[in-house]
Amino acid sequence: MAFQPLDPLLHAELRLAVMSLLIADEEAEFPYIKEQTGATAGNLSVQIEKLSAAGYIKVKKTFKGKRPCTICRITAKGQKAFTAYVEALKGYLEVGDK
Amino acid sequence: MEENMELTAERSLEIITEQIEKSRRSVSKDTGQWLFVTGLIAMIMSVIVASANLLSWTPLFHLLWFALPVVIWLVMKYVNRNRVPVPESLVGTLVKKTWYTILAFALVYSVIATVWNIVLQHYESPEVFLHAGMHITPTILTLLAVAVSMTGLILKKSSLVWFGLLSFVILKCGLLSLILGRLLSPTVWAKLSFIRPCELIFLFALVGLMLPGWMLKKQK
Repeated sequence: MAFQPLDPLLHAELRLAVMSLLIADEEAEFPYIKEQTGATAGNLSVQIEKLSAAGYIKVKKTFKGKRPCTICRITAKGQKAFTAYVEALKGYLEVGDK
Repeated sequence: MEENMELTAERSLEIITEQIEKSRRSVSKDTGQWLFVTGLIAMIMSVIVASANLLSWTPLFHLLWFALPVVIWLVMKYVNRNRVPVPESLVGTLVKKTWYTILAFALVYSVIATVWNIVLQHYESPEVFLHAGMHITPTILTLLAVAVSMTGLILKKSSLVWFGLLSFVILKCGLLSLILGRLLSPTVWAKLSFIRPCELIFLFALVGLMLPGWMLKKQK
């Protein structure tokens, strides 16, 4: 049985965690993602940048009062990629169960 | 979390499940905070309204209930001032829409019932009013008990479902009325009928809002 390749962009702990969170929440502020994933701000920024460059998420920089606020939102491309990743994952898990 | 290309399929699945569960949990905690604060304020308010009504011997201070949503909103704003906001999610939106629907029904019912009761009081005899008058507080509290149980179903928290049912049962039994009715003489208790909504609200706020809210808030 041929395995479907796993999207290398999603096959990384932090990026997968961010995408899973955004699949559930659609849109989230940077501090919330940081709190939920337990990542450092620097590492998270780098991974968000990678996901954004691939068009999987959209990053909006805005202000909340006087404080800057970064909002991440999953795109249609990101949702599609995530679905494909989960589908591919199923193949690996089914083989593992046999 | 580090970048790890050696991720196994099991670990990937674990991460996805964990994050989705975390999202559900943060909605649960947020709902818990909201229920707890609402319950606490409603309890304090019922004591204030009942005391003011007793001291003045008029039911006029029931008008204070209209200030309840504003007080809750102000306190929630203060409590959440330093918290990271919980983002919109499917679960969160479902909970919100359930409450908005129930509150809309409660509001429409209370307006219709108030107008109906005023008209009835002015144009009909007290006997007719006694039988045909609409009961506002028990109906609204029943609707809220339904909302609590529905929230429990959405959040997959069976304790919340049971608290909703329990508050409904307590409401229907009139537990406090039963105790106070036995402690006080029937004449005094009958005269105190104008503070009974406060007693119902106090009990509901404790069992249907504050306790389940506290439980949700405290979950790890």
